[in-house]
Amino acid sequence: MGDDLLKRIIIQLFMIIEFALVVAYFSEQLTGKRQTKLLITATALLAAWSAVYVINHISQGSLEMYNGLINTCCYVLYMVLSLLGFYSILKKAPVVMLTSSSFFMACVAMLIYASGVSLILLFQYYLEIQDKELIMLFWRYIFRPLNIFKNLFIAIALYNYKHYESAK
Amino acid sequence: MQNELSLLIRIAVVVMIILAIAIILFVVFYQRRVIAHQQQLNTLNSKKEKELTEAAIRAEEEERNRIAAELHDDVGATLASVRLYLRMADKEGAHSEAFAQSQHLIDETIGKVRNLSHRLQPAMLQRLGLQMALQSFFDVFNKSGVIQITYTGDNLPVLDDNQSLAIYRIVQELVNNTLKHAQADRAEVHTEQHAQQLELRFSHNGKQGITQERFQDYIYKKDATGLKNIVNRLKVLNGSISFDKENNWFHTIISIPL
Repeated sequence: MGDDLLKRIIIQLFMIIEFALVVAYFSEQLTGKRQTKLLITATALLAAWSAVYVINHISQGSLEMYNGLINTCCYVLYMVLSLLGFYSILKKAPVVMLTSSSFFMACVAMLIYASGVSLILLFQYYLEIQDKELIMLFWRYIFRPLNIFKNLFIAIALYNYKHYESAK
Repeated sequence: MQNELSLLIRIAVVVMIILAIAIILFVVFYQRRVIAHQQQLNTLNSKKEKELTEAAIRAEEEERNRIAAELHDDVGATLASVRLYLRMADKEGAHSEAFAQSQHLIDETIGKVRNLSHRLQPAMLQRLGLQMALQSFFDVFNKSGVIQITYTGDNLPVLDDNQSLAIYRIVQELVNNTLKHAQADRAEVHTEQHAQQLELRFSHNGKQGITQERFQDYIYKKDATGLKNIVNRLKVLNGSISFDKENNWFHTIISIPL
């Protein structure tokens, strides 16, 4: 197994775990019937698509399972989930104080992160063939800062959550 | 070509991030506006609550003053006369005119005290129930010829004393307000029972009346004590009030949970 393939598998694993965690978190926070339906449908479709893709690749004797389009769809779903999160926050009564809301911070983190990274993922396969240096540049200067930003906001969200729990 | 694509992706990424930030800012500012609006509503509500409480206190004070005045000027004065007549009777003997006069005055005083007590707690309401008490209240006006009040509707369910008294007072207030402000010559009262709710509809054909839009204005006004008292009484009963205007008839609809 080459280094390149190993790297791809690790990235793919990272994406799957991230997707599972994000969906689990949002499914707990979004309680509306429509929102839950959308979440279940989108997850099922993405899972089916990924499964078909992986089976197809294995049957063709290739282990290269990376698909930028599926990953981009995951990130688009994050954006939709964040927007639904904002909608549910705005709809909530009594009014939620945004600065102390862990869910709002998580939505901010996911929206900015997903909106920045989704386009890189979409073009990653094409850019890797054309200009490997450029994709590294994007990875370094867009993906990493956005990932740091996301983690920072998730840390704030966790901090808020901890305070909310202790205040209860 | 590659440079162009790279630039395009960079621009697209930046635009996406800017859009995301714009959405977040929208949420933040919208929420702030909602909070400001809610604070404004809370202030208005507390002002309304204060006005209602003040109206209730004012009405109670007015009622006390009226009773005090009636006791002092009427009953008190009559009893003072009785004392004078009894002193005279003491000198003149048991069969004197002063003695008879004091007996007559005592009877008069008893009547006055009874009337006062009836006005405080309508005897008809206790003895015959709300429906008959309302009918008898309307009969007084119908006989006077000032206004014709018709009462229709279902047989009223069994209500507790507080509910009956509150509904009676509300109708009294509505009739008084109509006589005072509306210049109406006809009015209708209709009661209906829906499942666990009693609906009372008071309608009149006066020149002016309360509409839903004007109700909010009235409720925040310093005056309109009568209307505030109705709202206060309904609050105790967990009831609601609404207004409507149809074919030059003003309707006041009162709903009370049973």
